Amino acid sequence: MSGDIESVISNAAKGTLLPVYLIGGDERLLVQRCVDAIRHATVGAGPRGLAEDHFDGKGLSASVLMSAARTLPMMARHRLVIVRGVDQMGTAEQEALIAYFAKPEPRTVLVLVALQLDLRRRIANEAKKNGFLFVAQHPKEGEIGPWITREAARRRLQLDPGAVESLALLVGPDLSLLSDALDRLSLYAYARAITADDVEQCITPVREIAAWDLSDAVTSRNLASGLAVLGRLLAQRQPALPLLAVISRQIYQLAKAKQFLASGEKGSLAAALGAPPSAAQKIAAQAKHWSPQQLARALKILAATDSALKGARRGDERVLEECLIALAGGPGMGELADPRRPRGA
Amino acid sequence: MEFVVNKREFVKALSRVQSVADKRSPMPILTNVLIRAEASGAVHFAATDLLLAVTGTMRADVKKAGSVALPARHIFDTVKALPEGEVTLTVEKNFQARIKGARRRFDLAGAPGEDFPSLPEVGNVPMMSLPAEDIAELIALTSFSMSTDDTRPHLAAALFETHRAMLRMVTTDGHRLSKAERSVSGVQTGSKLLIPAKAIHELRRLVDEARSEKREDGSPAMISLGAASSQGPVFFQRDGMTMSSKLVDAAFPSYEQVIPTSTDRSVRVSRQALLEALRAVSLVSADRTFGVKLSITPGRMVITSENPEIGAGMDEIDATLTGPDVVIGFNSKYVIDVLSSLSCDEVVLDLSGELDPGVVRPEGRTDYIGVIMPMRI
Repeated sequence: MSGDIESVISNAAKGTLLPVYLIGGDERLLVQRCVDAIRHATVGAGPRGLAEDHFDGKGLSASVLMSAARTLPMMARHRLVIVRGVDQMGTAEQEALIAYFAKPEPRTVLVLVALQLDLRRRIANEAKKNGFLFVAQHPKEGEIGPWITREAARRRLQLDPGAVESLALLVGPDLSLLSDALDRLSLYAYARAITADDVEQCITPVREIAAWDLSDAVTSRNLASGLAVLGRLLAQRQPALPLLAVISRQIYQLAKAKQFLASGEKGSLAAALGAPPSAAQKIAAQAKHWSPQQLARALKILAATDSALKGARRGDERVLEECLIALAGGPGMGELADPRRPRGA
Repeated sequence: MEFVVNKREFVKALSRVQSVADKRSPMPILTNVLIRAEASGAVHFAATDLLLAVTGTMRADVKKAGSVALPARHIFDTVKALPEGEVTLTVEKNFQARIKGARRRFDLAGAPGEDFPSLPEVGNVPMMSLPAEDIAELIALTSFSMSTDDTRPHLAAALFETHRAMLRMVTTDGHRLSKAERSVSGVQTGSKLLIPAKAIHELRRLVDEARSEKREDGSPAMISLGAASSQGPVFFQRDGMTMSSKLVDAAFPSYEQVIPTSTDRSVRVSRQALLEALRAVSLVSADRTFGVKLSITPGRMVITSENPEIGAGMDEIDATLTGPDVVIGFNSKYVIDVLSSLSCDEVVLDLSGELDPGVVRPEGRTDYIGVIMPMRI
């Protein structure tokens, strides 16, 4: 639903405004940008002037708010009324706002910002019915990289592709944190392209890493990302065998998907894989990057890795690193000598 | 430090300064009142929150000169609680203060007077003397439309303008604007001072005290006003008291643009009748906005309000209309504020369309204008 927020921002830039906005969601940066865009389109970006009123929702009386919203603007085309923390207003006060939704003052733009938007509340439902509800959510996994690239372009920063990946990996989908990271990187790598090394040097990993981040990196054949994720998972004391199991399951799913698509069988891929449709779609897309020979080789590598981990002759991290290198197309477990035997033995 | 003084004098001096002390300041010294006794018999008081500062002087029997900073609230309360008569304040080592009256006494922990921040001094700032009555009227006519929003410091303030023999005060909160003027002599030309709301409230106290004290020669109470520059600080002085305030470092809106230069309609009504009608009818205003509708036709003004949850109210008063009929909505509270601040018998409402600002002014006078933005009812 963050697309809605983007559309509010682009519409505001064109001067198209609604009389009421109820804005909330986890993505605080987008919420703030949305409010800024509405303010800019309504009363300009300068210091607060005669035609705007700002309120804190906690303890705010509906009569004060309604009085401000209903009063025509002084020396401006529109009056801007912003309430931060509308969710902290009392229920009775919110009811007055709901009544306002039905007949808003056309020359007022009322912006209601919820700090913790509960979509089950009446105010959210009524705002939705009237087309006034906008929810800013963190971007999905595949949207983080493009967002970083767009944001860097907006700031006229040059980012190496590796830097984009590392940043997405270390910081995750929180746009406020990503924006802050870009601020720091722009200072660190002043007047030159930002590299993955710069990201490594400056940015503290804040993102929670999960095992499927590793399987995603493997199936998308991104070795740098895979090794970085592996390092962080092991640093989080994740045991090696369950990690290998997650990778193996994903490779098996790719193989099954490849076979299903090649066979031309009728029925749904999701049913064949026993996965939700969205997951099946993703697996099908990833399977296109793997040939049957590569998948067969990957399964051998995984078997050898499993054996090496259970042999416990070498460190888990080293075994899994070699596995990832081999899965990415490099020399690895399957082609080497007996993995149970220590190197050089 | 030690001095003896009459309790009433002491309470009076403390009451003037203690309200300015910042009781919640993260700087503990600002929660204190500075008391400095001179061998000459003058005892000086001071308090500040770093925006405002108030200093005062009283006469006392000073036994030993010195200074101490004592908690504003506690010193005021304890001196008030002493019996009538003479009060002795003695400061011992470690700035422990003993306040004694008759057989009652209090010991308060103090701080060195030297720790108190230095306060702005009038020095060579040119001062002009203005009747306290005029300043009091200007404040009464305009202070209600100052913004209470601290994030807009240029609106949470009053513009003091002096121009030729005119002292003008203007305030606005973006919903209404008040402009009041008084002719005064000895005014400097062309000064503009943006005085923060807190200073205006303290100035009102200073002015009220000056007005309440009868002068032996029967002359009107005067307040001296001066500012080092347009950046401040500004000083207000009366007998034995000086108040200084930082000025707001921002531009006040071009208020002349808010005041309509011409209107299509003019309505003359009794101030008191309109005030009473608005107070009554707004009890059932719609949408909890205090919104009322004024329907004006030749000879009468009908004031109505409607609230689907409560009911409706209506009143009618005599009115003299010049121009076509008009129906316009206002926040009744804004109109009531203006009407309450005036003392004239009749007021004139200058109006254009239902979405244009309305102007309220006292009949036959040009020294006050209240601009009120309408509401769509």
